[in-house]
Amino acid sequence: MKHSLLLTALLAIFWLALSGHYVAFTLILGALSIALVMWLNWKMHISDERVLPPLLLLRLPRYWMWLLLEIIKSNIHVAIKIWQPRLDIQPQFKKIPSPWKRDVTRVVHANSITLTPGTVTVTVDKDSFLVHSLTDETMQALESPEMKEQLEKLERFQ
Amino acid sequence: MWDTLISYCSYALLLTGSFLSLTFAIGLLRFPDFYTRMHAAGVSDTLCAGLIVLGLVLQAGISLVTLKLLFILLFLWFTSPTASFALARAAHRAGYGVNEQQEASSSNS
Repeated sequence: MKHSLLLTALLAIFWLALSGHYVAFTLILGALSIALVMWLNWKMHISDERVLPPLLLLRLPRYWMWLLLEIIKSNIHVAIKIWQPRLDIQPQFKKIPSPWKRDVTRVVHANSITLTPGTVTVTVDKDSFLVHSLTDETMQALESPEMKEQLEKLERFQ
Repeated sequence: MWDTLISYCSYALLLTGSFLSLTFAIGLLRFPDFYTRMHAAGVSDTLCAGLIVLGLVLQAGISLVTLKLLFILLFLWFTSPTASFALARAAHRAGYGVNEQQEASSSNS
């Protein structure tokens, strides 16, 4: 219940920010659409703590900052590989452990791998991902203790 | 003075974004197979889109449009890895590139 209220508030802020027209008619339409979304959520049983832990919302921006730096670094790496006259790539598959208990952390982990150029999550298993990597370096970045540390923090904030 | 500075920043961001977009297109042509080409596409999904949207934000000035552009970026960064994952998983399930994977695991062990 508490969670549904939080979600409603977030949706309301989101709608107000996107609309820009604050007259009775559009406000009523907004309220109706929020009600529709909340009803659909309730029907799909996704309006509970497991899906969107409120504490995680506070922690995520810091994770994004870190991820953004990683994305910029590997973007430059892949761009250099593309422009190099001689192709110098080592395409490879590898299993990466993902021992997280929470679904949200695993989704964030898998999406972060795909979002970083040079690595793509191919399959998701119970406690590992199959990852395809463009070069040895991009694969090493995934196995760095730094990434594990960041995800551990996310797991704790739920 | 301030306005010109902001427009030059915006041009720089848009140009860098366009350059990365070109890089992605060239990578798509140069890389040998499906998975490596996906990595090239990763460049256009992330930094290229980000730089172009930021350039547009500077053009638009601070308003609701700024917020909308940033939301576009946020949703793009949420949905594009999901789509990439679906694509890669479909290729893997169809058996594409599985031979290389077995070679890699047998040479490791």
